[in-house]
Amino acid sequence: MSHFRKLILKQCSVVILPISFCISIFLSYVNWKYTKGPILLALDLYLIMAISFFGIFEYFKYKRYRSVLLLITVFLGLSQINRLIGVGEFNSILIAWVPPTIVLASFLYGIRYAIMFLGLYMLLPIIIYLLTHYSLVPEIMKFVQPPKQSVFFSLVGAMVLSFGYSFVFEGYRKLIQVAIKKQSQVETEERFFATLSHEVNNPITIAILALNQDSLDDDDPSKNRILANLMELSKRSQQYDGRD
Amino acid sequence: MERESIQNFRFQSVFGNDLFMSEKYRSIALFYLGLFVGLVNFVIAIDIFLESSDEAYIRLLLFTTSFVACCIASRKRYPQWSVFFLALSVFVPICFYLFHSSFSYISLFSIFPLIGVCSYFILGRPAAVLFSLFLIGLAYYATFGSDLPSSDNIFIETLIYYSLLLLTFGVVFFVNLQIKVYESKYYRKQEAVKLESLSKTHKEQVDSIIREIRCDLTDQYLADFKSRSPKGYEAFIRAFGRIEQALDEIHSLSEREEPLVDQKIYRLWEGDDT
Repeated sequence: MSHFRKLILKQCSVVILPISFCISIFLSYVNWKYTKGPILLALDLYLIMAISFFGIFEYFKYKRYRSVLLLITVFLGLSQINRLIGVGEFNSILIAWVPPTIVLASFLYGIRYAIMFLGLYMLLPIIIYLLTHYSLVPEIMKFVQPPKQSVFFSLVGAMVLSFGYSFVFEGYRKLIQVAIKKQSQVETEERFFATLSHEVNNPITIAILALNQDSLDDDDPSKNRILANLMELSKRSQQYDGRD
Repeated sequence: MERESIQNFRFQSVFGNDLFMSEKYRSIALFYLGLFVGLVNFVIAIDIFLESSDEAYIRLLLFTTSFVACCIASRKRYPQWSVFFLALSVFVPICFYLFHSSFSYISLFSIFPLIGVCSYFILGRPAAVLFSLFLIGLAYYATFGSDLPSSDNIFIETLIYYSLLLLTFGVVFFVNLQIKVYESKYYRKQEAVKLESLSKTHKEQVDSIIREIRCDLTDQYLADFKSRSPKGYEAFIRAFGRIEQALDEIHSLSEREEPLVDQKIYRLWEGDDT
């Protein structure tokens, strides 16, 4: 992972982990209070809640930010697929959350990680068909399509999420600009003044030696000024070269 | 020319003045998106027409195809209109299918967040907000305002599902490509700008020193120096000439405003002036 992506991942972790923690608490409460859904539906919410909590703890205690990777993997690879299999069809509003999450995953962890999930979701209709056709889905996993209100609010959530990614991308771009500017400045300065020093210092030394061959008295003000200026020029280029 | 730049400015002020996607990649993205939207619409409209024999779908197909053709044809010369036609070729069929409910609207809903992401990359954040609000309004109408029964069409829903995955892959691919291009482009630009700035600052400092030396190198002093130490005089004149030449050459590099000016300096350092 590049340095830029690590920095943006760090910033994303501060936003994603608390939000996923709050959402998972809210959905768990809704599931417990109103839906009375199957227990496996709630289990993935508890898992996401635990990962989010662990991630927040790890972030502030150990200054690490690995949990977003685990969170996305659990969300895309376990939670969504579990729910889609439970619904028994891929024509579900849950799919709306998949593309933006995959785009974010590719952004944070690279294109191969995204392609892995895309491959998995390509196989999903076949998996669902086989599981439902041969009645391999246990009763505890089965649940019905959510009501209209849930569909709408789930879609709005996914839209807000996709809009939130624009902030991530904008932040990333600004991060690149600042970082590359600094890197560019250091490299350019080094190269430029190394060249300057090499090209200028040799003739300066020769000029100083040549002036010293002059048999005129050392107290001559013109000669001393010229020497002083040549020394200043040499010193300046050596300073730029980082030798002083 | 001026009028065109004013129009561009207005367009970019409304639809994001700092595009994430470069003009070149936006043109390529518009081409593939247009082609993709046209193909998907073609398959859906033909399938429903064969099932229901409703001529409205043929008319929709004609409209969508003409929008896509306009989008692809105008993507280089008139990118603003190209985006406009692409938006029409996406939103007109979506509205039509939602109102007619020829298949489950939930499968259409799954595309909406991705449309938001695409509109951000192509047009910028304000456009993404506008389109997202429009899509949310549509979704609200389809969910609560419409009394039309939702029907199922497994073929179209599967087609939309795989189209969604393909589009996601396209977005992922283009974003990664764009980031690499953007980084290298920005790096070169910054390098050249910084070098120019450094060179100017340094030139001012060095010029004042050289000017002082020149003031001291009067004709009388040089004549005396030559008479006292001819070899030293020749060595000094040669060395001073080299100093001036080297400084002029280094400073003149930044004035050419070439993107790879740093490499020229590097070659100079290596002793290869060609």
